[in-house]
Amino acid sequence: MVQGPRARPAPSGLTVQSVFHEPEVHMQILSRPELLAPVRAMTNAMAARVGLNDIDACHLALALDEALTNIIRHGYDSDRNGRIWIEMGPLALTQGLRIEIKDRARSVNPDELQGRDLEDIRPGGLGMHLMRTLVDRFEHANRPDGGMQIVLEKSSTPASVSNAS
Amino acid sequence: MNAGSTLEIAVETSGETTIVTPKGEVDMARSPLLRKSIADVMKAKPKRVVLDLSGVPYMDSSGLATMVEALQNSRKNQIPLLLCSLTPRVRSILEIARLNTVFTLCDGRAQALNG
Repeated sequence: MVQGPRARPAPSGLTVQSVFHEPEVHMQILSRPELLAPVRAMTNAMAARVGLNDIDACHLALALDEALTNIIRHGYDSDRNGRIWIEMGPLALTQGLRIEIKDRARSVNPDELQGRDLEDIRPGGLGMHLMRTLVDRFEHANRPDGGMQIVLEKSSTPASVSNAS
Repeated sequence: MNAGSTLEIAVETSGETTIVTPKGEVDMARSPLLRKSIADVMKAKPKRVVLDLSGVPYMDSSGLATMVEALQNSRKNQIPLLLCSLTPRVRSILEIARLNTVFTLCDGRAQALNG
């Protein structure tokens, strides 16, 4: 049965509540870098399904990639057996996709992960900048039962809408 | 899109230029391979290095870091490094990271070889 949009309670600690459809995809992955590619493929497919253009889909997939990389590297300290849960669903009020990520890793406040000044050209330090820049909404909070929750949302740009019609 | 688990990297020579052509997505799992390949090429001290990105549909921050490291290596060794044939996706990521003005970008391989 297709469910209509509904207001979901904001996860504990998240300040903004969104109205969005029931998540259509629920995934659990292990904290392994080689699983980033299949998750990206799923994200691109879901983004295309809701009408995001190719570049917007790529940017959303990249933001998710960077979030997962932080969880794997900093949250789970590269332990390959950590659990990560990912939900994806269309936004209700605009053409776009919402992704929720949960883990049980050591809490790492993304605000405390120092990104570098973009004028300072050196390897590394770009992940946080990319995550914040690539999506329309980026939020994170500690989960009451441990771990972190991250929300990413990306809506269609006008070009996306025209391309999708 | 190549969502497989491998990144294929071809290295070839054209005159005094060494051309590195990765094929596949460059992410946290795959960037170490590209990093090693470029470092090996730089060690041979070619006159110029061209990184042909026509086969790279996606690159994350670890891939960008790999290219910045390559650029630093090239400057240190005074070996010009040129990027060519960027896909629209990778070009957009480079622009968001504001690296498009840091690298020498060429539209195609011919321009890179003649530039």
